[in-house]
Amino acid sequence: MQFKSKITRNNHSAISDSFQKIIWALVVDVAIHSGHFETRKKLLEKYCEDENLIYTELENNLHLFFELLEDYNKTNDIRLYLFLKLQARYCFIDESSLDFLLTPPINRESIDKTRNDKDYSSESPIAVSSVGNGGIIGGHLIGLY
Amino acid sequence: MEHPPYQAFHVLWTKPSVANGKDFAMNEAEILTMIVSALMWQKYNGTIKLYTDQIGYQFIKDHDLLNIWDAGINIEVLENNFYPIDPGIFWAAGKLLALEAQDSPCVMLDTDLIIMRSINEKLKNSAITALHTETINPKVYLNPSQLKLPEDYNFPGYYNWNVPPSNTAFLYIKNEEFKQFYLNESKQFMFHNTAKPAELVSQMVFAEQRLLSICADHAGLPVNYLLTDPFSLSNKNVVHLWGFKNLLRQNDKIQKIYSKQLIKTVKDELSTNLFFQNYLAKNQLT
Repeated sequence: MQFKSKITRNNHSAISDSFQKIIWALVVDVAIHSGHFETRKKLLEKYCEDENLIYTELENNLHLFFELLEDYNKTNDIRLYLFLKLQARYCFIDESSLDFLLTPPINRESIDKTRNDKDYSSESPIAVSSVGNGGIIGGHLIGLY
Repeated sequence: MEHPPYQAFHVLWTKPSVANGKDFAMNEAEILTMIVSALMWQKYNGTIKLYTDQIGYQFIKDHDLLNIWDAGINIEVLENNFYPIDPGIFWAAGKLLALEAQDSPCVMLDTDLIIMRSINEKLKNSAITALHTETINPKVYLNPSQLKLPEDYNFPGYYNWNVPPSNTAFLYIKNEEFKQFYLNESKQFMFHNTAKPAELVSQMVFAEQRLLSICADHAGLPVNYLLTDPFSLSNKNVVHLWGFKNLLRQNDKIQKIYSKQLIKTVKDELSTNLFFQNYLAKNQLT
């Protein structure tokens, strides 16, 4: 007889490709086609059980993602964009796919500048715009981009 | 810690809120940042004290935060100070009052600033270290003729208005004599200076940030900086919320994500800190 462990892991590790696709389909449906998150919850819960993930954590993270997405769509504020990308990671949403959903933020070029700068391993000081940094000095130290 | 501890202090001065007819408040993300600031300082750099007033103390007590400052909490300095300073205009003067009470060498650390590593190498040969320079934006750092002055006050002729102001969210002063000189200059400007500026920044940043650089220049002491550029990606030590606090106050979703991410960043470093672990558990932040 097999016993299913009641211990579930925190939702920080990788998930299967199929589950990631399910989540992405849900996100696209809700974000673009005004679909309802509620109708997909059972399916998500089932996958979470199979993948030994904490369902409520994922549900909360997705709710937060959708709420922030709504705020972002009203403003195109680059700071919200950066935090949306951060929150996407907690929802197993691939960052490159995310740009498909989002209209570019105002001052997009400052993010690109940040990325380019980050590729350098030089110790020399590199200035990036305060806007591109979400306004937080040392935002990169807490994974803001 | 592989060096003698640096004595730091935080300040929570509620008089500016009260003067504006508001209750003193900090949101959860600001509180978390203040906790992490105090605990990371203790982990890597030294001891830390809180200067606050009675209302601030009650706030700290109500939030079960009394134990985060290992060098204790001082209420007397801010509660019993009757200097003729308008807290509505000089909203950060509480930091300078606390600095006056704290013996040098000391570090004045804003509650929204986290030092993530040891900065002994930056401080050990320094007389004065601030966070970074500020550009002389004429809308913020006003021309002297535009600043509001107390009666019978004139700027000393030796003030060099060309030196860049220093951001004092972090300020280390080694020398007591210089500290007193700087504070005396600042007090002379702030005392009985009640004319309202058009905005609420210029008078304060002059009294705190620009005067620091001017005084250091006059004393012939170089000001060192933790950051060459505030938004440099080579910064490995400092997280400072700065203007981002405004967004945190406006958007509770950002608050949640920021808090989650900050916890994720420091949780291993503070894994043995009982206070931090209890705080996370109590607030269901694990």
